[in-house]
Amino acid sequence: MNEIMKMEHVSLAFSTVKALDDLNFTVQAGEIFGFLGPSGAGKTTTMKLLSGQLRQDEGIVQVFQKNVKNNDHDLYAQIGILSDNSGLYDNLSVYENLKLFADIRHLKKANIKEVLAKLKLEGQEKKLVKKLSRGMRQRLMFATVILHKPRLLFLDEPTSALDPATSEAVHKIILDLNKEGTTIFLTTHNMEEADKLCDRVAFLHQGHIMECGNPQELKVKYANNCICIQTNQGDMIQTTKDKKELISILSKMDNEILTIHSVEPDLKTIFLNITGREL
Amino acid sequence: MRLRFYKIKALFLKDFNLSLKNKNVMAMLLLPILFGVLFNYLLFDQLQDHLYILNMCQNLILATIPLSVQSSMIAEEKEKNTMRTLMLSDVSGLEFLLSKSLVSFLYILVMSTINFFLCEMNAELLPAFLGLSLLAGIAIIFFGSMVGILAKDQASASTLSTPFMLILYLPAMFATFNDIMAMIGKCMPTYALQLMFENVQNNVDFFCMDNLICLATMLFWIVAGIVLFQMAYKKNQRDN
Ligand SMILES: Nc1ncnc2c1ncn2[C@@H]1O[C@H](COP(=O)(O)OP(=O)(O)O)[C@@H](O)[C@H]1O
Ligand SMILES: [Mg+2]
Repeated sequence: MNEIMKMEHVSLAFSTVKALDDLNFTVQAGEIFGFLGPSGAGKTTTMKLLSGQLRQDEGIVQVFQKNVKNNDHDLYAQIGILSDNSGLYDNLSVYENLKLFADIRHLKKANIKEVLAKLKLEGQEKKLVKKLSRGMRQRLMFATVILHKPRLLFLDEPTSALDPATSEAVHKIILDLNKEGTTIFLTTHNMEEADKLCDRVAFLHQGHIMECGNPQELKVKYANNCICIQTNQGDMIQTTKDKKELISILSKMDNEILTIHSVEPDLKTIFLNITGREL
Repeated sequence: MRLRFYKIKALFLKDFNLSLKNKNVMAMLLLPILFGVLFNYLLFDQLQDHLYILNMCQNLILATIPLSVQSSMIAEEKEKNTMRTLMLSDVSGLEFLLSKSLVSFLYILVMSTINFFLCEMNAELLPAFLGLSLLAGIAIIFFGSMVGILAKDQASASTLSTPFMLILYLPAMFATFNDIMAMIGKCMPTYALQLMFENVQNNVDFFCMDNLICLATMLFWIVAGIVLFQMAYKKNQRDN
């Protein structure tokens, strides 16, 4: 796989507050990389560094194998950014908004048609943006940032203000885009979302990456060898993967076994274990 | 910074379209016209001086459009976070500023023309009047842009632009009444425009001393405006 972004020993302070502290990670082409952490952990700041909206105090920030410059127009032509407070033109219609961003990027009308279909916005073209529901608005936001078919997409908490059903729809959009080959850098404080979507996740806590890896592998790593046996009487017995112990427990059991399975913590629990902090 | 024609065109069409839907902008455009009509039809019998009314309304046009209209268009984009969306869609700060300024210039030209004919001026002088008005507009537009960039929303933009408007409007208005006002007035692009247009009317050589001083005033405002705007722009980028 080839590397699409990387940070090496990146630090950044806002006056005296250290926002990011020695960040190191890479993102591979084609993956959904989740950046997880509670509010104030430094997720948005990291995204701003990667997209040239801020400059690091120390370290290397590279996207597409090139150092990121401030306000890097060549970069903006190739990426899409859905920031945590991107806005749309309320007094323009859905179509007028899309037409504007298509014209700004010198794109054809076919691109507009394509995103309208992809994001199921057909039939809404004439509606004023201020009359859209939150979910529709977020779809349109997505549409404006993928009009030019970027190969890299930054999404800053794309579901944080949405209800579960709308979040679900946004998840589907993200997975579809990824299937088409778009690399996605996603920040979230929603661990279930990360678990569902991401190929790899990084846990960010107070500007520091505490752990990074595939969600499944992380669960195994932090599983503490735990096994759970459930009987048909409803008893739950927890034990370890130690063979002798397991056999001795099983031999002493009177009731029928319903299930035996290894117990894996969810990402939330792992995050809590590592950082001592809830999300 | 980059300047790409197709981007400016797309932005200009959007900005013009949105300005028509912006109540603040429309109110500020109507004000000088309202005054013009009022002065010309109600006060002309007493004043007997079209040039005085022309100047009064032109000062109002130049104190509102490049300042209030410009700053309120920029502040609207900040208020609704669309400025950020544009910047992240590969629009440069210069393209953003230029498209807004073109809308303001268009309004200056339209309003100045209306004012000119309301005051029954000699049509032959219109090109000179528009050219000079545009020059004065350019001298002021960077201040309007600076106010727009510093303000976080339209309400604070209008508060911030009020002192600038008074500075541009009052000395030019009262320059003929009082020596001190005349002195201050000479440092304003509004009064410079007034003096230069009078010289045009009186067929004075364009490169006379008076005009050169007026041009120097405008140039000073342009340079100072660019410097201040850039400082405001950098500050805005840092704070975001
Ligand atoms: N422009 C700024 N000026 C000062 N401090 C900032 C600025 N932006 C972010 N911070 C601080 O940096 C830290 C990380 O913020 P942020 O990246 O927005 O967190 P997250 O997106 O994970 O919620 C916070 O402590 C925040 O207060
Ligand atoms: Mg954030």
